[in-house]
Amino acid sequence: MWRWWGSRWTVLLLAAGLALATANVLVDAHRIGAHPCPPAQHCPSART
Amino acid sequence: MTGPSVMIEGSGGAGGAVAGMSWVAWRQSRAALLGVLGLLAGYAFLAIWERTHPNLVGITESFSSYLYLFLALFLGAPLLAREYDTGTHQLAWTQSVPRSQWLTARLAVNLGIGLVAAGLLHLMTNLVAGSGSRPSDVTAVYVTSHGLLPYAQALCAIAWGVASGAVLGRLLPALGVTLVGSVVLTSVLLVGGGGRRSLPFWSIELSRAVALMLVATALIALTYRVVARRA
Repeated sequence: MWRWWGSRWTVLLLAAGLALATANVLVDAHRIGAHPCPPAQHCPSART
Repeated sequence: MTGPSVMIEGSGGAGGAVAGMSWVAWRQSRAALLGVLGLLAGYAFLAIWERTHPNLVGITESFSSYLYLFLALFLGAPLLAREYDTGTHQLAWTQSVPRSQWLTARLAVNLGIGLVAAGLLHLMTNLVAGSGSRPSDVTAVYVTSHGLLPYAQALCAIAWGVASGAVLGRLLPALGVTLVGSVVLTSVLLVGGGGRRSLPFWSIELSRAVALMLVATALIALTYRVVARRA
């Protein structure tokens, strides 16, 4: 039974990575919106 | 060393052998995992420092680009190069688990650690910025440390390190090539933002992430090929 721990932990690790990535991308999408200013340009409406 | 005995014991059935291999992969990645945990602890310290000192705004984000360099050095280059240097690959390859499965198990663990590390650093930069704030300037550093790029960069950097180790077969040259390649990759992503400033954030993110994932896939395919052909 303990031999399955290796693959189980690997699947859990990959799932945790994907979950973290999804959550962070959603936070970014919420924060900067779908169409933010282009890079290196000041956004007048930002951080008000 | 308990690793090989686990592989032999696990060779009674196909599922058991793969699981035993996976356990060995975890054991062999312990040092790299500890190195990455230490690195993340350093970033956490930096994030707390930034949070408590308003004059240091953006320092965690600025240093986040260096994570991929360390991931390539800790998780990528040593994965195969250390095995070749010490000769332990010959022991692993004489077990009942095929080389491709052995490589898959080791890659899955190291890529998973890299993915989680990139996610935790991304989380730190988001938490430091504050939950409700919007970026005042979407700089090149912002583009590389948010959205999809942290994950694509992490996977590509690790794949570059693994492929370097597979092709060169020695740890020190592999570390050198990995270091140079990672620095070039980071510089191209940071400086390359200048030519495409008219594109919106998510277009840049998506196009670069797809390009990096294609490169990573090609490097992983090359690694499988080199490992399969190695005597």
